[in-house]
Amino acid sequence: MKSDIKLFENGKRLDGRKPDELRNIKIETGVLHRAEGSCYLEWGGNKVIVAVYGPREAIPRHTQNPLRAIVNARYNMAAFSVDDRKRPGPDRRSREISKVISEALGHAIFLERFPRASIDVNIEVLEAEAGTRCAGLTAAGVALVDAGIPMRDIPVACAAGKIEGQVVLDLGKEEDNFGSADLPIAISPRTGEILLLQMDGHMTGDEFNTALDMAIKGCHTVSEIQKKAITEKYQKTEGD
Amino acid sequence: MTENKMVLPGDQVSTSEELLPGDGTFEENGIIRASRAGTYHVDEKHRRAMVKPLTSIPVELRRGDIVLALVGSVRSSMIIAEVIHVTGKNRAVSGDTNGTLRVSEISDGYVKDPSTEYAPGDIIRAKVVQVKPNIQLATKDKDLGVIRALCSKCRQHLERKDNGLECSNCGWKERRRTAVDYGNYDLKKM
Repeated sequence: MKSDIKLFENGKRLDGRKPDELRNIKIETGVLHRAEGSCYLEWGGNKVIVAVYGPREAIPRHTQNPLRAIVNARYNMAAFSVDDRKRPGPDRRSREISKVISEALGHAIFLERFPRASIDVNIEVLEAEAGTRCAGLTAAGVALVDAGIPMRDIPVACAAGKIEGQVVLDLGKEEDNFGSADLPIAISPRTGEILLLQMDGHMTGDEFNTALDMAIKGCHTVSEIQKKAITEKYQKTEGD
Repeated sequence: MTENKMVLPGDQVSTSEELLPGDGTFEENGIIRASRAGTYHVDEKHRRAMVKPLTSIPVELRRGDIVLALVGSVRSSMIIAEVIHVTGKNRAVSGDTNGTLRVSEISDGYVKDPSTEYAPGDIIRAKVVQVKPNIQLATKDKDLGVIRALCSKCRQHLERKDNGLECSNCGWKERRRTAVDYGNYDLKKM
């Protein structure tokens, strides 16, 4: 896709960020009363709310696994989340994202402690501005901690990409639309294991390695914000 | 690691040489880590590392729990009831909820047929006597038994009258093994 906007000029990006700079992230946990765990996250122009229910008996019953729990992440974009109204309901894209997020989260949870159960993670995208799967997964990680579900680590996601031949961190809306590659990843920050890796567009081997390193670094930064959000919420209640 | 410190999932709390992994922790490559957000404690008696949760945690059934259950079917030697609530917890039960209550566990006296004591649709308070491999319940106590029953003719609430129960709508009389506080327990509190 060609455009007449310059995405990268004088070492600065369209929104004034440096190549390795993230957008602003704000995380709040425990925002929903009826959910067992919840999280609200703002990542640049993305606004995501996540509710966690369970572990509870998996329904329909044929989906139950007698040895472990199943993770049912449901990524959904609100009709008003994008400029043109999005037709509501699951589509190819959101089903794929739901699946990869479920798998990524499943690797961080002690699933074998809850045989035949399901852990439902509902991810609602209220406003979208590129990188919603990373925002959704990051928020889901926090919501799972809020639900007290036993986990090995708090999963976290971040993207890197390529715009006009330059590898940059955390693509914005125009960069995603007119850039040449996008590489969202999710990691387990303690071990550095990659839980999710997708790529859209083309990159050379070297560019890929740079982008991957950059995204992993970004994940660690976001992970600190996640931990701060949880600590702040619960240190307050602890003091009462 | 100092005690009472707040930890998050994955944080190291101790080592296997020092302590055993207790509630809210797990062991990985000789290191004990927290599996939930909470404060770190050491159970000196058992030399266990524990993480006391700061968040709500999933409800797992244990032996001795007092639960509320919905009677599903009444067989000749047992009833099958679904555990719907654990008293003192405000979260739904995680995992298996299918409980069975054998005739011999219904009351201290002799019960010939469970259908004289319970009927489908009753909500009972029971004690968990076994969790694995399946959930077994018992109602051998005076505060255990039916806390809400429905008329088998018109499905309206039955009210306590004399020694039995009577339908407020049609006047039909029934018999149940009732708990002492029959009809006084507020189910909305769950």
